[in-house]
Amino acid sequence: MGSIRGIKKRKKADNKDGQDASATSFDWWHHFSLRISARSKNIEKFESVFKISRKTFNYICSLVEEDMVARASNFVDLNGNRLSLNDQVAVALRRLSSGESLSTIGDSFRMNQSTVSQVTWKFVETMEERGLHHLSWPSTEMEMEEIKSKFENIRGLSNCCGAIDSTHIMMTLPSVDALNSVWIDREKNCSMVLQAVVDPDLRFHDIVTGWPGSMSDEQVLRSSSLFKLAEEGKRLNGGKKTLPDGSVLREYIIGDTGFPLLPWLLTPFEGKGLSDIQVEFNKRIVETQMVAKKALARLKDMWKIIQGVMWKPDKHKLPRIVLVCCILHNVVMDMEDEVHNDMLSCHQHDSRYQDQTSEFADNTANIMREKLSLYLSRKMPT
Amino acid sequence: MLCSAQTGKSGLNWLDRLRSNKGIPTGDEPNLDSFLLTAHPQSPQARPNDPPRNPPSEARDEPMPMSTILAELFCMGATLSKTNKKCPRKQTNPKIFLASSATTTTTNSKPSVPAALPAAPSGDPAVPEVEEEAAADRGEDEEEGNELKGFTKSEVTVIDTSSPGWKVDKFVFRKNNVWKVREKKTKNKFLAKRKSNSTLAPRDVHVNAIENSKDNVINMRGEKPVKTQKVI
Repeated sequence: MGSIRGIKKRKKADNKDGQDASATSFDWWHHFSLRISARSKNIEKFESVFKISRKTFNYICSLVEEDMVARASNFVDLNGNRLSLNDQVAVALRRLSSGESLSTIGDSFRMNQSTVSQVTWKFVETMEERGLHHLSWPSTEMEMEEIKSKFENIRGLSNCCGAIDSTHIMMTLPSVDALNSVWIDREKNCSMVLQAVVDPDLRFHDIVTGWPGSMSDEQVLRSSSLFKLAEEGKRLNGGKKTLPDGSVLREYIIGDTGFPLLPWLLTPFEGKGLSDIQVEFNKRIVETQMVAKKALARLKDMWKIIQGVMWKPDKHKLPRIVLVCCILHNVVMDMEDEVHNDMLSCHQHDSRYQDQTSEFADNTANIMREKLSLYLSRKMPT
Repeated sequence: MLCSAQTGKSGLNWLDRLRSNKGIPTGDEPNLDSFLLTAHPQSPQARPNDPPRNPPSEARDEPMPMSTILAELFCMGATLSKTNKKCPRKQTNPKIFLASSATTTTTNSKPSVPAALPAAPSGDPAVPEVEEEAAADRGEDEEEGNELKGFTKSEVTVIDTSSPGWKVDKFVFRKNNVWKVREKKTKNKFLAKRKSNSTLAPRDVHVNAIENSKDNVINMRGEKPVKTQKVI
């Protein structure tokens, strides 16, 4: 679980320009909402505008305060008023969460669209540095044990440490020429891949993004540091579990059929004529892996800038925007923010995409999967 | 077509000035038009330098006095700025001038512009650009080694939170279903270009950790890769 390190720093920080979030939080929103709702004369609730609680907002402000205030900026609104830290964070969060165009946000927040763009990018740059500790692989045994326990509670999978899945961030490109064809995926869309390993609380612990959409889930996995570390025995190398028949069950994650079957990555059985035990095992895998699908669906639902089809994005900036959305996703989890909980219902994050299939199956992993499925059928008969 | 309409429109002013200044008799409109059409292919950038030079030789034969008069008119302050505004727009679509004017005059006056045009099919100007870029990339690839010949290179920024640097610029080389990934050296672009041979080659990334293959060769959709491996 990510620690909330920034709070202490914020308390120590000077109250520069009267921007201390806790001291002026009420006043800030009161004035800010009046400013942005001047046309409609209808003051909206903070939560309905930003989809996060005030507590989370204040924490995010405290995370980025030091860097964003340190970088001298003269961002102003259309009336020439200088944008405070809270103003800037509000603009950036609105841009990321609504996915609305720069001009729409510029109109509603009464500022130039280039200001919206610059403020958002400044926030992204700061947040990826300051907030990255919210997105990390479990560092302690205790943390991993808690994750394993929660996974086992879903459908009985013992020693499972994570669920992996991939999604596509869709976009349009200036021209579909030979150089851009690499971004065209199997469904003929231009996209970038996001791969994520998720815990049962829908928190991201590892992400890889930036690879072009034409790469398969398996290719992205094999290009990742997670793959390298796991193959070298530097990851998923913790507590092993001994099954009743004496065989040892190592730590592993689970994925769908698009991923290869590896000693540290278990996938469903494939092919025709599966036994009842295998069919039952597949159900367990699919139901447990649902947390990854839900997490990605929630990510896109909450941070809509990566949900739709992005219009000619900078392909070097987009991965960093995706990263910050994932970090914000985790921050909301770590802050136990429940504002968005009632909005989440579906698990569709890649609805226009068909399931991929990997034909690679490691022998050791095959044996391990057989033993685990047998163990589960005896332990928890259906 | 747009040009002929514009010249027709502005021709009246020209003729008025010509008639008032130089006393040329009326009824020469067809000659003026044809002269203007043949004179246009001269690029607007070249025009300020051109007046001191001799006009095209063929134009000298028949309307020699007319051309000198017109040259004077082009140099007039107000008229010059006006033509400068219009000419770039016309120049972007030089087909019209080629079709309507005699090729002999254009080759005489400015060989570089029309020489490029027949080579490039007039249909899509973007195609040669793409080919050029692709060719440039292939050229770089050849420099990097024959193994990357024919590969399309793309530069990507990859975020990997399990990597110590978590953000890396990489080159993706793709040829059909074969992929190679190499890390981009995070140096000054100038230096990187100069030392492309030495910088890229030794920095092959073993991201896949597959067997002992030096390159990250990935197979796609079940087709046979260049280097055999266990993938897919």
